[in-house]
Amino acid sequence: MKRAMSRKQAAAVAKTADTNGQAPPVDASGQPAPTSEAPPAETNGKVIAPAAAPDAPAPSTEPDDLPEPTFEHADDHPAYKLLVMLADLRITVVLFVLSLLLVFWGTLAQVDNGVWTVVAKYFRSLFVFVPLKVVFFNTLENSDAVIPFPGGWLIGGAMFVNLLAAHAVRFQLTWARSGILLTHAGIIVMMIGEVITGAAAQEANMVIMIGQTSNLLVDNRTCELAIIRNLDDRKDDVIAIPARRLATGATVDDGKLPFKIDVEEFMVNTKLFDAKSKKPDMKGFGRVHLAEAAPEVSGVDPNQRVDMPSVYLKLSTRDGKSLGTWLFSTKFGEQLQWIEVDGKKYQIILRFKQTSLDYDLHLNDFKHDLFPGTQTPKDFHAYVRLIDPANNVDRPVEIYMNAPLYYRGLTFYQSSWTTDERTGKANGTILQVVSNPGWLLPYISCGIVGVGLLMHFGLSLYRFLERRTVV
Amino acid sequence: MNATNLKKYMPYLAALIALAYFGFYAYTARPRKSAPAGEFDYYNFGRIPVIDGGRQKPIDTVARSTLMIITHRQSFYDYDEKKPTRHAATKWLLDVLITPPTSGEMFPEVLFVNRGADQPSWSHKVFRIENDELLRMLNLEMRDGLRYSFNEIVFDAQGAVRQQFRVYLLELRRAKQKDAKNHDLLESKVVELYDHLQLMNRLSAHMAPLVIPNADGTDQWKTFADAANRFGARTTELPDGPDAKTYEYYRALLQHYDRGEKAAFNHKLAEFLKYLEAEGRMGRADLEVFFNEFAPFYHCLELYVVLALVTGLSWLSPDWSDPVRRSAFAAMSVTFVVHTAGLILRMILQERMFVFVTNLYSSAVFIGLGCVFVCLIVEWIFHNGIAIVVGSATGFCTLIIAHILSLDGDTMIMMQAVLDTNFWLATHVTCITLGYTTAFVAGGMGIAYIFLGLFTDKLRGDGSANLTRMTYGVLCAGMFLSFVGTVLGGLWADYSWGRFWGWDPKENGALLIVIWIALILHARWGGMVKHRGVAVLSVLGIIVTSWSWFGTNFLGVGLHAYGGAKGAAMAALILIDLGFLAIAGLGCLPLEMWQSFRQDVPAQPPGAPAPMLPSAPPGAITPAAS
Repeated sequence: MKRAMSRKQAAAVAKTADTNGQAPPVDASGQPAPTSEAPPAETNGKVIAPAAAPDAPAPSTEPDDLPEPTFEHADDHPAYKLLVMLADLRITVVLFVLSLLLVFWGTLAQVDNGVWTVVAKYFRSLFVFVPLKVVFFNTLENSDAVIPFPGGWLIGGAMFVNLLAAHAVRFQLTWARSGILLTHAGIIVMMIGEVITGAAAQEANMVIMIGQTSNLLVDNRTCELAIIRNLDDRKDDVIAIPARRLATGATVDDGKLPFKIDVEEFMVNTKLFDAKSKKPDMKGFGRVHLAEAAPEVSGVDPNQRVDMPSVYLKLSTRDGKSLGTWLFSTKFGEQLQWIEVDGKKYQIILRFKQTSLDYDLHLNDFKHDLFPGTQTPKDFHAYVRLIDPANNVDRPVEIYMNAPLYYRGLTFYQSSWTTDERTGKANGTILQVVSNPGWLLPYISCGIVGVGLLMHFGLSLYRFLERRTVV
Repeated sequence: MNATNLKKYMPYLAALIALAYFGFYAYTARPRKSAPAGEFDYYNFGRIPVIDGGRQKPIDTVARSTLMIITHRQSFYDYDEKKPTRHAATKWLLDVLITPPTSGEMFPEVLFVNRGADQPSWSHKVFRIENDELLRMLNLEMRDGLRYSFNEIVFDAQGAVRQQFRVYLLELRRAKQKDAKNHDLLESKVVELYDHLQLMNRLSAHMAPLVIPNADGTDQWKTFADAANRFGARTTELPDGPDAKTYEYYRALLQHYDRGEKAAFNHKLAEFLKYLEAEGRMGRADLEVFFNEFAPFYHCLELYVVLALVTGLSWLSPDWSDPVRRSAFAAMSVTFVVHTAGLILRMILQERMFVFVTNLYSSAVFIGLGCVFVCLIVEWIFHNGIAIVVGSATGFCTLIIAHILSLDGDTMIMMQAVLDTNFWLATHVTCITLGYTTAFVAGGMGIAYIFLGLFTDKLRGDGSANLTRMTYGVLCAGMFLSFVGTVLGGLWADYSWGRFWGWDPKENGALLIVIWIALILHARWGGMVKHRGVAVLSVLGIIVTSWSWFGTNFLGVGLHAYGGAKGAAMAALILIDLGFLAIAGLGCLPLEMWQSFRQDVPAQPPGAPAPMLPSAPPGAITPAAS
């Protein structure tokens, strides 16, 4: 392997030497020339020479302690050899194939899973275990067999390294290369943007009924078990346990909690029935309701509903006394269940994760128009009053499609509406609230890559046409 | 005129013929003052503006799009006479409008002569039933065209409901109880026929379209049935206002038509249209009627297939291939202009300038236009006729797809609120569709490469390198367009709901195209593939692109639902893609089987075992180093 590499390098060196003294030959792509495995071939008596290799390392990339770097030096340096290996275009192509498969499977997986589950499993992960069913284009029936595959972070990271190595090895500041350079710089910006989004972006919903005021953000992608104790009329003591700690079989035993929790079953999505429980130690709503696991809402479902999680918990006191089995479900809405431990009353609820803003939105009115004679929405319009006494803000705002409200780092988008069950008319708005510190990067990236590609392909075309006219 | 002269002037001749061809159809579609004596003025009846599907349109469009759904044509034929005669869609509509509805709808039936089962619209053979199981269930013989009349489907010779139709209704009830997702082929066809019957019935019951404007001028129009309920059969003392006035005219028209009073009908119609014009209510109805009648895309389709065939055949004669190529270029340019004009007309009708694509149908039309445009440029640079064949073939195929898509009804639907922004439609959608375009053109060139290489000598010498250069150039444009288009889509999403990239199926589909083109270009730059490899990969690119364009729409379709309407479309897509896969497979045949690269080429180094294609310089559009 080592030898082969060296010989290839040597060949490149020889070729570069051939063209020394002439104008630097730059190939149309600005990418490295094909490796010289194929001998020069003759067609119709015309010799088509293999192109000179512009991938000869430029001196500028060499360490400073090599005053006059020759190609032999570069070839021998192990770090450089490693770099050359990492910069191999074959790796690039393999990575493209892998990402192609990952994106494709990640699309197919959305038939059975919600889009956010897929994003977490496939695209924001190092490894993913792809079910065999998905591997074979959903043509197999469900089975438990999976194949391991590199996830989005891994492939993206490898592309990042490959790209940086390629530019380290082949860096040239020429007009012909500048397009490629810009394009790849833009791609890197976009990758960084996606990393920031994956790590830091937050989305939540805000539901406000007409005539009401709210500051509550609800993230209906994650839920939490809240244990609330009234301290006095105005203050509550709330302990929230995030859903990830409530996996089936888990135990939550924390000194802050008044009791120990054993998770009997956690369901991502639930069907709820009215049925008497057969379990003798069932307490609370669970005595008359039965929860059954329902399939996750599919990522390709045209009317995107929300997963409604539920959980069966066994509660017991610290000294081991059973407090019974309880059913908590987001399907119970805001209905709380009471439990008394050591003479103290606690309210427990499984709810979507909530945060509150330190300012309020008041919904004055909501308009919802359809195209005449159809059910196609034409316009939604939320007439909102923004009230932030701390900043002396109290102004009316209209939020509608493609016209969000930007306020203090958050963006409020008109997303959906609630309907009155009796009249069927809209009686409230659902706003999508987003904060994403990386939101600007894709815009920048788009511009850079667009200009880069235009420059690169434009120059190639120009040179090509010019040569044709000369011929 | 001798052959040399003919060859010289052939391009002009071709352009003239193409112009005359379109001119003829434009002339027959022209607005006309009145109908020939002794006939109902169907053309001008079609100009009456109504609201349907959320937008104002001429009633002609309603008639055509309804017929398109039930009979797959914009007109219908009378088969009873010896020679089938073609009738306007508006004639069918008028016949339907004077037919009493078949069930339970409130309607003042007293207005019309009661003919029992002897309704003219019931004897028009317009219901297309292509499923043989359904035909057997209804005990209908399989006939040419597969079109049946309401009478044939429902009634026996004595005018009683047929036993078979009762069986059908039972089947229908069973199918309706199931979730549409789980329908098998027969069930979906049973429901489909019912939907088509209902479509006609709704027109008969005047529950659609909205023909009576609102008195206060808003777009909350009423149906004729609503107005009839309100105004009743009164002929005098109607209140003053556009609604009562329109109701009066419209009712009079239907009554005249029902009684067969041609002159009175035409006279009333002229009066009505004059009134509408005076009120300024015609909008763009006239233009749309002309557009419907002209059907520019349909005629472009016809010319494209002719051009592809003629240019391809001309390669058989080296003497004529060049003049034919130049002529085809001229005719294709004319067709391109008409194709463009058609899209511009559409934009005017939809009042969305620079928004080429608003739905799947227009994306197909626009992709066709893009393919032709790209190929005209490539042909202008390379002069070898391959781009003519590829361009007209892709133009033809995409317009066929557009035609199939138009079977769903009106092609100018209103946009959902979230999509209703001209800026993003004009930028993102245009870019992404042009990205599809380039991928299809590159794929077409790949197919050309494989077939020309396998079966002809055209790729000898410079041929191979030139064709690869063409493909490469198109791929580069595709890289730019699909990347920018995809990212613009993300920016739109960020702007509209704060999420740049959500990994949803459509976004992923677009990303796949970007990755695929990037893969081809990098594999080429890295020397991993050469001419033939680029061709094969480009053909596979068609599959990737068709997935993004159509495949993602089928994702929600369950496995067992291959029979349903969506399932059938999905099966068709899979079959077509398998075809492209097979072509790509052909491209992988050993080189000694390729006519263009056989070993008996004198320039090949002797004894070289099945060499790869002549290696070209990196970046296909760099010519050979001297």
